[in-house]
Amino acid sequence: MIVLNSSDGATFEVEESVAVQSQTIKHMIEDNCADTSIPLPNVNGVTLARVLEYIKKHAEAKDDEEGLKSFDAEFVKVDQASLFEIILAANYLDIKGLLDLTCQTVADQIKDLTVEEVRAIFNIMNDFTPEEEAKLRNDHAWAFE
Amino acid sequence: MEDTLSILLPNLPNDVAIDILSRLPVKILVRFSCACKVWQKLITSDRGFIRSQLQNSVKNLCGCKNLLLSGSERLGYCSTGTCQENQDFDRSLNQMVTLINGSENPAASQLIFREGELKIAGCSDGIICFFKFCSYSCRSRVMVYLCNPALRQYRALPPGYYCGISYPWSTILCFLFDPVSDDYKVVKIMDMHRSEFLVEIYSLSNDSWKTFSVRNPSHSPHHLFRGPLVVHNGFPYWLVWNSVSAVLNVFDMVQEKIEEIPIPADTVECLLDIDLGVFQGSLSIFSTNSSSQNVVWVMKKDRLGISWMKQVIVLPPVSYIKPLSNVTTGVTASGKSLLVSDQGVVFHSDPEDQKVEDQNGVVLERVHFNRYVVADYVASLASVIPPEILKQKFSKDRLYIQEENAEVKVPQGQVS
Repeated sequence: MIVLNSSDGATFEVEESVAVQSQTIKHMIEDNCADTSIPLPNVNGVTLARVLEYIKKHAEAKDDEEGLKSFDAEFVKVDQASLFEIILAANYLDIKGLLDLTCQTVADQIKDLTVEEVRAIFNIMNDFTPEEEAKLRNDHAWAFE
Repeated sequence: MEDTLSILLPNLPNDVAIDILSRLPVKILVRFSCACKVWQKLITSDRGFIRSQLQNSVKNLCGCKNLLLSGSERLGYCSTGTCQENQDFDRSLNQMVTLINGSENPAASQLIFREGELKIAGCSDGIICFFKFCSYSCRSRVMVYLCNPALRQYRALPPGYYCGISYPWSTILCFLFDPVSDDYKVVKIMDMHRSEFLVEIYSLSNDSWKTFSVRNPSHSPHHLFRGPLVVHNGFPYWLVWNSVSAVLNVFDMVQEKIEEIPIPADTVECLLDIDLGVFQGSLSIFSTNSSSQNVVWVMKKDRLGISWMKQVIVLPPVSYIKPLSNVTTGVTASGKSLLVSDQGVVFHSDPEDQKVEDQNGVVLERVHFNRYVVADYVASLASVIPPEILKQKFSKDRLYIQEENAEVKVPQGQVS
């Protein structure tokens, strides 16, 4: 069993065979940095719990394609802030399947947004002048149909 | 990706932001390029990002969505995407062709654009290369165009040094992606009925033609090349008749010379009936043997040299199969090779599971009389504007590509 410590001091136990879905954890184990427990200062307790839920399910039900698909669909039904937290955790822990799933989810969510909405969601500053932006939109009018 | 790339999304690391954005389709990304300058730069000119976006599109492909066809008499396309995607592709391609041809064309799917004018030189990474031969005074010239319908971009290429003396029957033209130099190239090889060929290669990065001559490897002074061309692993291959038999030629892009590759003597029971194509991921020669079976000779290259392996394709009730020349790489974006039967039914062959399957009811007309060239098109962000010109746009604060295109004039003095 591997012990993981979140940034806010929560402790989680997980089987090594499950934990190695995270390449980061896998390398730490191989490099013998995992004697007592593994500190994960970049992941808070709530998010770590969710991530562990994902990797546990994907370890148990590995061959059940349908089951995993519906699990994944439910798994990403969270608010945006939480989704971003999970993405950051999956990126830090290097869990490819989870990163794929969450990135695709965000991509699907922003696909139908307007440019203003996308700027709002991601806190992007519009550094075009109004004239520049108007010309851009005009030139690419076909993309806005 | 550049190391100095500014923050794309304030609350996510750059590589994650790029992962998310590269999953979006081209149209959406063009829309989002208006969000801010950093996004615009990424979407319109970051080669790594453009490649990732294309790879994601191809990954999600099942079969061919858009097939472009050019036969000796017609240019058309067949599209099997969603209704909206079809409309978009239809409209943008039509606009491009209209602009190139300088006239109106009605829209329809299964479209015939124009009789005998535009042909496809190749299609790679969402860029289509069209060309046409024009007669001008008593000389013939070839006009080459690069087009990305997804971005509504097209360009007429600057004329090469030998632009005035290309003849349709002795000029090889193809468009390909050169992995060695990470560049898109148009290769023009002209047979001048001497012991040498004139070669011109256009490079998109440099926006210029390079001209040189290569030796004709064949002993016969008349080098009748028999199309079509197949581009395999970044090199163009074609079959040639010298007075005795047929031989395979390849233009080595790295060494810049033409090499001959002998083909198995007993493949060729009837010289006129062999075709070059790609099968099972390798360059192959298709022929029919005396028992009317489809025989394919697959080329294998290893340290010991080149060898040919014989296979028979049995596909009842189809009696005669030949490859559809896909001038890009011989395979579709998703890795399948296209074959056509003598009834005009199109099949695709998957190199992985080795199955040959019907391509969803696509039927080509008069397949014996038309030498069809097929290109499999996937929308991409790859720009047909050379990087230097693109960079100028950013530095001078001119952000608009459409404007530049509108100024490109198709030369007057068309087909007489």
